[in-house]
Amino acid sequence: MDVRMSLSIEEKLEILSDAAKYDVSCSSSGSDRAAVKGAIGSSQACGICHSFTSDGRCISLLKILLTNECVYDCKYCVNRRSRDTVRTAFTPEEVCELTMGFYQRNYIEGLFLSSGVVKSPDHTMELLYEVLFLLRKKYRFMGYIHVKGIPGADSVLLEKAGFLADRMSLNLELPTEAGLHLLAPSKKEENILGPMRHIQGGIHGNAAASKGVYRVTREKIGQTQDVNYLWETALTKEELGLQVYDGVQIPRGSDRNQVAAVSGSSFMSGVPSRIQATDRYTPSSLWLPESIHREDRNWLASGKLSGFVPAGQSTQMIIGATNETDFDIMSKAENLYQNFDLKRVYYSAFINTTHDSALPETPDGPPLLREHRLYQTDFLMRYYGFQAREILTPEAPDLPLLYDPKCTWALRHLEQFPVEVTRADYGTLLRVPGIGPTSAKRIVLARRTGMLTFDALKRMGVVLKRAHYFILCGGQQLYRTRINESFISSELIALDREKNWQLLRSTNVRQMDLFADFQLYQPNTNIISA
Amino acid sequence: MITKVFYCEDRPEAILTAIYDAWADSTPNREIRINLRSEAVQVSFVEIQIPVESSYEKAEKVLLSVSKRLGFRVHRLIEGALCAAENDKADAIFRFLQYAFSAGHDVSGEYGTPVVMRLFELDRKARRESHLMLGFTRFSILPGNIAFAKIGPVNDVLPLLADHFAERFNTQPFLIYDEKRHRSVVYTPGEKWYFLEGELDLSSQLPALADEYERLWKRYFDSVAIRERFNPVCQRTLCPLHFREYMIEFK
Repeated sequence: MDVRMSLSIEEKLEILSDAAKYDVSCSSSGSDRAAVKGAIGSSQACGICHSFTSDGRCISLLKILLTNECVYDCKYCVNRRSRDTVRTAFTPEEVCELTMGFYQRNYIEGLFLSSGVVKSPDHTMELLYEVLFLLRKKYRFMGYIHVKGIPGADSVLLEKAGFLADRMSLNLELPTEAGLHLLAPSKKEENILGPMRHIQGGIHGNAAASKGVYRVTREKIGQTQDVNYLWETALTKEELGLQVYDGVQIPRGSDRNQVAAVSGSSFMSGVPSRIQATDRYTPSSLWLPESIHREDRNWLASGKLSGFVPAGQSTQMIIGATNETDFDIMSKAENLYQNFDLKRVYYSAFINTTHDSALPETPDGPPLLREHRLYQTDFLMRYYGFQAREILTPEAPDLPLLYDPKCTWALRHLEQFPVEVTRADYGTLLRVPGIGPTSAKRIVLARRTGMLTFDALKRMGVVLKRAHYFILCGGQQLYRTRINESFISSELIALDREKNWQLLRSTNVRQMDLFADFQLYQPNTNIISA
Repeated sequence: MITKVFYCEDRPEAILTAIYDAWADSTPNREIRINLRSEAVQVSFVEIQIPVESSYEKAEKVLLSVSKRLGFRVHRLIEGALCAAENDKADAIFRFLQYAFSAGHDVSGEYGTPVVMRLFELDRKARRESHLMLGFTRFSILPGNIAFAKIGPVNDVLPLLADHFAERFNTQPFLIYDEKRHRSVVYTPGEKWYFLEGELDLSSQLPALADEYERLWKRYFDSVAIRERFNPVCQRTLCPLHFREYMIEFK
């Protein structure tokens, strides 16, 4: 493969950001790190969006590939080996300069670094580590870093990178093993779930890491039986499966069998056994290559970086490339939240960029409304305490597109309504359409000291146009409406009609674009001929 | 009945001074109002108008007793509300403080009480915008390695932004200029940030040639958009047009 290193930084940026943009995650949340005097950067738990592109997605991080060269030939991927496209690569210095230059001007919150697989997963992971190390150590960058774990890379290499990053993610790509086998024959599910389990162990050992929303919600509403409580227990280093800690260097390869045993047989169901202990294990210093000075190791281990993957891990699944149902997808996601402590699962509506014969053609554009409904269901699971099987069943495995999954659930459970907002507990309030975690919290707080009125509810953030069918306030409905499925559902459909129409049509009825339609600007083509 | 009306500038410290003065006045509270000077002055036979000379000392005193007696949540609410764009904010804060001090404890959760709800709304408005501005503020690098940003927010969010940037860019001197209110925040490494009053014209200082990173950023901004997902309505909801005037990638 001909890799052009001589391209200008501008051309490289265009190629390598274009190749990275199909990765959905751009969040900069979950890591709250105070700035360090004398070093640039900080990170905020809530995350900050810096711009929004014309597709409405946020730019929070500089999202680039280190290289778009790849030895794999995954059928859906723009960077697949057999695709005829210009290949290039950044040098580590170039990535650092770009990140710092953008960060200094407040364009970005940090770096999202991914890469095509060069030579081998191990080699690629090492390259990524090198960039991260340079950025943290030489450039003293304290902003947010999200790094991709390369499936199949040695766990030691993943760990090393994990101590420098805020978030790490391995993409599941497709919700089922069969789908993966069909479209990405060189990837195996166990090569993705194994490292995920391994990273989970490391995060568990990091006292500075924050809990995921999935878990926090269940603690608030007292439904902790849904979650494997690995988090509350202290595990030994061996159980965590960590190899990089305490300056002890375990020869590479010697422990691999043991790690494989943890990740191979039991990773979908098994959680290492609980041990009652008081302290969680926190790594005090790092194993780093011999060539790095002791003071550098100490700096990296000083805790300023908040330890191993403090913002947790996430993953991504492509929606609509294979024929999984929504039920399959959400069950998979729920499993990942419960057993792998994932922070986020992202869903990416399939965009056919490679037009491989194994892929479905999508003449109506990517399934954006379906993706939207999946995200809504995902939020119901994480923020609202729902279980996947409450919303979807094997008998009715797909989400209705006409109205949102929370309304769908409420309409099927009208016997639980109306809810009296002056008395209902937090968990019950959360299940009312139009009431979310923030407004439910405010309701609980406000009713301690005074009366609630519909006006006050509205000003607190309750979406009354949706909620009023389902609530009583002081024994009264806002309007005298019937609690009747067909009546409420027709009313609710009318509320969302315009928004749904836009999502369904957004690609068919496209606004004319001067750049694309009239070639006012030269896209990639002149780079290829250069 | 004659109402006393205290007039003050639309500046956090001026509003707090007005509250201090109004409080010290012996007139029964319901006959006192605080207005912002920017509002159209309606001359009335039943009003006495008292201009307020702003004083940092009095402002500090008000904030101190708020945080001492009412707690940090109320303090935070007041801070946010002071920066809101609404014209009734000065009087709303005054009414709220009357209620809060008579209760004598943290009343921030009493959303059912109208004066508390109003303050909560003001705070929310200001902080929503200040959160967005944490991301939308754009710096350019002037000669001498000084970062310069010009903003024109709806709410007076500058005081809410300063701490964040002073912490994040603690190795870098910077200046953020609010061109609507003619006020800047100035920061030099190792020192506390401070306000600089007055109009500022730095256009002659800006480098004539476009900065390399600005070009790179624009290129990046265009190339990460996914054509198949084109959705300008969504983009406009999340990044309203009035912000874009100050954002380099939309120029």
